[in-house]
Amino acid sequence: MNCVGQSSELGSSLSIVESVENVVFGGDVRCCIQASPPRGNGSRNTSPMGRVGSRNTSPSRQKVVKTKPRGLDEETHATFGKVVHADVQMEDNIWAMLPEDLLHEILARVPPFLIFRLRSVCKRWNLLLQDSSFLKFHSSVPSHGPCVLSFCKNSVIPQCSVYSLPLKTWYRMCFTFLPHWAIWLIGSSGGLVCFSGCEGPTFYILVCNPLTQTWRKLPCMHFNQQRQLIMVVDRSDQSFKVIATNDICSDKSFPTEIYDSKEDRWSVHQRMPASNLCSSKMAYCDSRLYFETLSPLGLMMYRLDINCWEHIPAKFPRSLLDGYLVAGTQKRLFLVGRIGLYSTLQSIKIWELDHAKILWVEISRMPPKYFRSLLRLSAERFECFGLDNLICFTSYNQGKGLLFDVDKKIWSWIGGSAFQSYNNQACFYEPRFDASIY
Amino acid sequence: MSKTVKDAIETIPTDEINSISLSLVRSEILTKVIEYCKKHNSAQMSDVDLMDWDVEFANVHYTTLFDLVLSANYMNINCLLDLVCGKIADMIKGKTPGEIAKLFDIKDVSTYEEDN
Repeated sequence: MNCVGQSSELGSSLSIVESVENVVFGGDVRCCIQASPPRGNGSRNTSPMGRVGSRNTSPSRQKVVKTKPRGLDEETHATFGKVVHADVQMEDNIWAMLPEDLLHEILARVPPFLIFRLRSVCKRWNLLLQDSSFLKFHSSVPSHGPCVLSFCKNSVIPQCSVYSLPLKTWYRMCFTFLPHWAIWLIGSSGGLVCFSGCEGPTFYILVCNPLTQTWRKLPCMHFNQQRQLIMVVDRSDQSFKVIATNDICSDKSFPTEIYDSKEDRWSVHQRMPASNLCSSKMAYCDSRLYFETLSPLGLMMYRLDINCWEHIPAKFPRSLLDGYLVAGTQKRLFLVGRIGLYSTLQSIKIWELDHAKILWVEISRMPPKYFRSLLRLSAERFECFGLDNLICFTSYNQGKGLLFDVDKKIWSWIGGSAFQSYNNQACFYEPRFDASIY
Repeated sequence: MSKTVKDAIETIPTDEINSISLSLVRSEILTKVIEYCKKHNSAQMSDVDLMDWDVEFANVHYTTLFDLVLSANYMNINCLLDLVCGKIADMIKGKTPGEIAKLFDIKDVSTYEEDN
């Protein structure tokens, strides 16, 4: 069969359209080159010729389509094996003709918090939505996060809500699966959330995945006190580390300890020098833990590759108050703090560390209208945390959350009021079904 | 943009290609797909504008959406597949399990075997 028409790449002309029009409705006419649909990828069989699973039927069961042509040729119809009656019925149920792998693609894009509801559609979906390879696929779709997790443990029942940034909605999350002693939210990384608390006299740390409602208590540290902690997940090898630095309650200094999930044990390392009156502000990026010391105001860095502390002699901005360290993407480190407490020109500013020049460079300032709205009274406290190049400010007195996108330089409010209580703790969270607690 | 077309072009020497058969794609849908590819290949629009354009593009009757998802899959255009699947996921989000079962024509739950 001769093909008429010019060859052209998609996007430059309509000649492909013309040639398709010549052949598609000609029944079994095939053109010179059959473009094959090769999206074969691991477990997903995407060829329309050979879809496996319950929807595959042999060509002998193909039925003739009586409705208006939909461009699906005989092979495709045979694959689905559906009898087509009237126009209306077909229109309503076209989704039933969706191939299995495309159904997976669609379900993978349903937000994680809504997946649970879909399990009760039917048993097949229930099985699918608990299948580990589907959940892994779901977790690899990038559009589900980040979210802001807001945790509050007033009495016995933990109240927890998660704000999904892509969906701009709050969801309630059930944290009753955690033991009652877990009251301090340490942080979240790669889909895992870390809590700590005291059961009796003993201090414990646990990690959990709120989506799968699984949790695990970590072994005790060598110097097992309530210490400043940070958890980091390495998604490339599905492992995580917890780093413990100084004692929170006193200014006693302990050797830095690191928990590695691959070995399930803590290793003891160098004690942090200059350990008087340390603040609790830490940030981790690029295999380095940055620690802000208060007196004197300075920056310490712990290098995980060589296991030792270094002092970074970056001069901090004058009259900085409430400085927070926030890690950005790759090697970026931000300092967020208030300037000028008793002045009318008080504001919150953001600096970035220039690693080469060892210098804090001012990159942004919170616009006065947001500042006045976030902190009604100038001496009110605020909390600050970050993920990638997003920084979130929360003010519990006002019950508000403010987001700043460092790259796009956009400020935006988080709607809703899940930050109400004074002992609310919050952090960024990326919901992932496949984050493993082991 | 379409891996299917790219592979077809790459496997056969150029002077032998007159046209490429995309036999599973209806011409009206192919027109839409081409419109999408042209828009995304041109450097004219900013990211934000392009996102808005995408939202408009995907705001079509569900029969068209269905055709688009099959075509994007067949033609192996990842970003279009992402857009359309996301749109369909959006549609599912607002429905109860009963409505979803009806939509996907899942008639008889007891047909499926018990797990374990």
